[in-house]
Amino acid sequence: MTGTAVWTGAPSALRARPFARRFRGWGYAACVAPLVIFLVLTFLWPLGRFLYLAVDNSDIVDNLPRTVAALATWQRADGVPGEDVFGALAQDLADARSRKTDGIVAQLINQRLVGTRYLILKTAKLAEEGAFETAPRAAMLQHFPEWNRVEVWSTIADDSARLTDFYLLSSLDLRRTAEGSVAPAPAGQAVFVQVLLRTIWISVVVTLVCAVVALPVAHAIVAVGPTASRVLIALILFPLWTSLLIRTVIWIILLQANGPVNGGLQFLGIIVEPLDLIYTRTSLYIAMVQVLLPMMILSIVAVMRRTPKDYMKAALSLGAPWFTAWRRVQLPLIMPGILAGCGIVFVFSLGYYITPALIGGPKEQMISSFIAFYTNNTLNWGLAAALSIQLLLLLVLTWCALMLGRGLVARRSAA
Amino acid sequence: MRMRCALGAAMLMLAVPAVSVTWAEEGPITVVGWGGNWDKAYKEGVWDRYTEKTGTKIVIEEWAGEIAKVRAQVQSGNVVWDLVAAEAPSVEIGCAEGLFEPLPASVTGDPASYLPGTIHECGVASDTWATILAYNADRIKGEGPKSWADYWNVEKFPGKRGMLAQAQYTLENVMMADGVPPSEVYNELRKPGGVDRAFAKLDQIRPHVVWWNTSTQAMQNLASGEVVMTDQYNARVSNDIEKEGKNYVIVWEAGFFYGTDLWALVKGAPHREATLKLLTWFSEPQNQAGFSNLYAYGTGRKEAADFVAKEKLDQLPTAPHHIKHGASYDDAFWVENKESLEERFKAWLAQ
Amino acid sequence: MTFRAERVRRWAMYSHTLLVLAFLLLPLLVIVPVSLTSGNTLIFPTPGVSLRWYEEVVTDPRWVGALWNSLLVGVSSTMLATIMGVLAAIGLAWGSFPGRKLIYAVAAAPLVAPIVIVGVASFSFYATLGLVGNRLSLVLTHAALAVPVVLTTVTASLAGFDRTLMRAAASLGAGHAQAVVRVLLPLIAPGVATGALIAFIISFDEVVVASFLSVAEQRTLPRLIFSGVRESVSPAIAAAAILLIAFSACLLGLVGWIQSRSKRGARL
Repeated sequence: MTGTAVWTGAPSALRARPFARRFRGWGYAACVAPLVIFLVLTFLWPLGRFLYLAVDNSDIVDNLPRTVAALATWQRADGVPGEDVFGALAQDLADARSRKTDGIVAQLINQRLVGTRYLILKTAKLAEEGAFETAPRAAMLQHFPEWNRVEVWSTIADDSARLTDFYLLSSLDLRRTAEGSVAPAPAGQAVFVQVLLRTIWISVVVTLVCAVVALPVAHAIVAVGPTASRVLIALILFPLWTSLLIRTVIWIILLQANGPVNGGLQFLGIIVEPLDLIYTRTSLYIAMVQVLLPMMILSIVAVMRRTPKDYMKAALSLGAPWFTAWRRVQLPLIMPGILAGCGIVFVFSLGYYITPALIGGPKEQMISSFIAFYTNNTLNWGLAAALSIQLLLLLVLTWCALMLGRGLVARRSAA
Repeated sequence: MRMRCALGAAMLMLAVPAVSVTWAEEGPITVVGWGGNWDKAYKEGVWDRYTEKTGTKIVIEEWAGEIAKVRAQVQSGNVVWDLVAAEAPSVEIGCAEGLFEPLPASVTGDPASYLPGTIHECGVASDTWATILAYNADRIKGEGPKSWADYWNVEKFPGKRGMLAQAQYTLENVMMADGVPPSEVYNELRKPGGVDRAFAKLDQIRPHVVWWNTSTQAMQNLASGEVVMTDQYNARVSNDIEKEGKNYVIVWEAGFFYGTDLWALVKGAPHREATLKLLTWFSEPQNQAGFSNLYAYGTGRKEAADFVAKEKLDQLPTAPHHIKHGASYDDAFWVENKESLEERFKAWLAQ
Repeated sequence: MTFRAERVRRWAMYSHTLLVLAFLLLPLLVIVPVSLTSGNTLIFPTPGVSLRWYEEVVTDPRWVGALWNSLLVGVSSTMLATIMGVLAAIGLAWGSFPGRKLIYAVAAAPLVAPIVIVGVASFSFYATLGLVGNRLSLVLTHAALAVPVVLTTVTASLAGFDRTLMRAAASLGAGHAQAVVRVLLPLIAPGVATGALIAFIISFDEVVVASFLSVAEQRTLPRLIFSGVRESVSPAIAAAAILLIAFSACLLGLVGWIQSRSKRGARL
């Protein structure tokens, strides 16, 4: 335990100061190192690696190196390519199969040109068995006439770069045409811009409702005595200690067709048939506001406590109507708290997943639910990553806007 | 300071191995089924009997058919599942990719002794099931819906409808509602504009649909009256009629599609030999019948029918008086189109 | 005139506050009778009163196994996060090396990153390592999510720590490690304990990452509730929810007690 004392052999009173000074720099840095290394390894690296999938195309390039090289000079107008390209593809697919990556190649090409999955998988299987070792072109065409389609080849050729904008464009409802220009996706399949706007809209509504509901509560907390105020804060904090999932589950139980709310209304004779309360936009708003409201209240209270009460009293004693006094005097003072609360609530809302997934219908799903869908259901990592980039950019923009807003408020109150 | 850090590092090292102990290697066969009553029927009708006979323990897990999970295990070399019940298109893909092991005839028995579609290079049928139209006769009194067109007819049969929130197994019903006979559905879907036609038909019913993701949800909605009719897997409905005395009607004559899930052996399975023994045992007709006797799904071996009670046989999708209204799911169609159609369906749902 | 208006305003403000409190807290209470139902479904009003669903939650091996998993993952990730968080907080507060602001920013990142992205990214990462379905992956990710909180609470308690105490201890003949154990740790203990408790709750309540990283036998409690809700909301889920709320309340009480004690200690 006292290893250092043994090493130095000096009286401890003399040793203490130089010791501290000596280790002030890198000794302390060494203490921080485990955390930094840990976060880089388990958080930043996985995150960055995942986001990179939005532009990564190496699964195709790495698995079909010969084909990509052979197709380098090929043009769409050349028609079905020649012997060398077929040979290269047969070799590549045979290799891919022996590495068990043919399924991924087939999936990626099928993502871009639907209906090619079997073609790739079956060709790979025969290629590994050596069916295309002599005269690959004729043999492949004989087994699988689909290789006569120029689109199949142009799809592979278009994907021969290491990076692709396919997923980023898709996440904005755009795609590349055969000519290489960018065009909007067909109306029936365009959804991401709508989902993006919906995500923002839901977050804005939740934020505004929270702000309006929270203001009088914050006033009340500051107005009452210290003990009552502490009790109020504790009561408001309590739901924060209950998990988001549990609070969402509670709303499902409350709002379902035969739940307490409908049951109560029916019991009182107000309604006959149960109302559609759950799986609606309203139920989503209710649940989200309940979950996020405490944060808004606490942010406003934190600032309100620091603002002097005399200004408001002075304005009132000068005969200003209450609301005018509040708006002109009190509001600017507590604005930083409101802004901070709005920022927190908005940022948390944008990333919501559990609550919309459980309590919303299909039209209430936000970006996060699509990220989960593409990961779980269709294993389209590229699109999931592109949507994640979209969401993260939204967060960064919100943060910038918030900083800007804070700067403006600060300048105005200084002026 | 150095001391403090060394102490911390030592504690770190103590903490990590404490949690990295894995419980895999030695252990019972892990079979992965579809959960709920399905797993229960397999456990009681099949697995427990095998354990009783041989002493081999069987652990049941559930999944939702995500072939990606098998791929992740095989590629990383960290296989924890032995046997999975996968839908036929997944077995097709997994077999082509080498995620599942081919099963020799010495394990499965003579392929000719199986019903069509219930034996595959890499799998042997776990269950043959159908997606049918069912309604709650407590809510629809008198004459009920007779066809998928009636399902769309909200004037004649007011009330919400339950519908599976995915493209696969749903688009087939939509095409039947649009007047396409079961045998023609995939031809129509493959035509240019065929899928558009299905989505246009879906637009019509949309305001009247309560979507479901799990069959339990759908059955709850049917029970509570939230919906008056729903699409559903046939055994789920039979089970509730029989065990809970529900007044539901399965409308086989509306037309239906049936499909087969197969037991597939994961490549590199930790208990490969034990699993092959289990499969050999399972291939005996009387052992397969243990499942059909508890749950209204068929199995592979033709002779298995000899060991299934008559009233159970009558509930199977493959019973002669049912199958004349049905057609088989087209695995090739879904192998190619599954992802793109699911993504389009999700987009349509969210619009 | 203004007096009356003022009274109306006050009355409105307090009744609004009461309504908001009811909105925040009543739902947590309303499910108590639901969980005590004797029926099989959540139909309200309930057919009768019984404890059968609580009994199921505490005896059914699925629930018990999930609770065990949650505790195992929670304790492991809390240990990791606390050790790293305390070390880093000391290093960041007392050291004066470059890049400390950046480290604070990096350490705060898990707090603001949308949880789905964390879940998906971890899933994709651990899938390539073959660690999906291994508790280790979940422990590591939960520790990363909890580290910012530990760092914050310990940094706050370090801010109130007088560093001359360390020197005083040294001048009285204590070795450095001894000074840490005898002087520093007791004084920042409330901050460490608070951070560790919150870290535990973060892991104990977390469901999204768990849903990506855990397979059946490693299901945590929230994960089991999540899949249960998607299947069917049974009264057992309400009972489990109540038990979790009660558990949180106990931990909250513990944190409050620690903090009030440490305040009293500081005053003495």
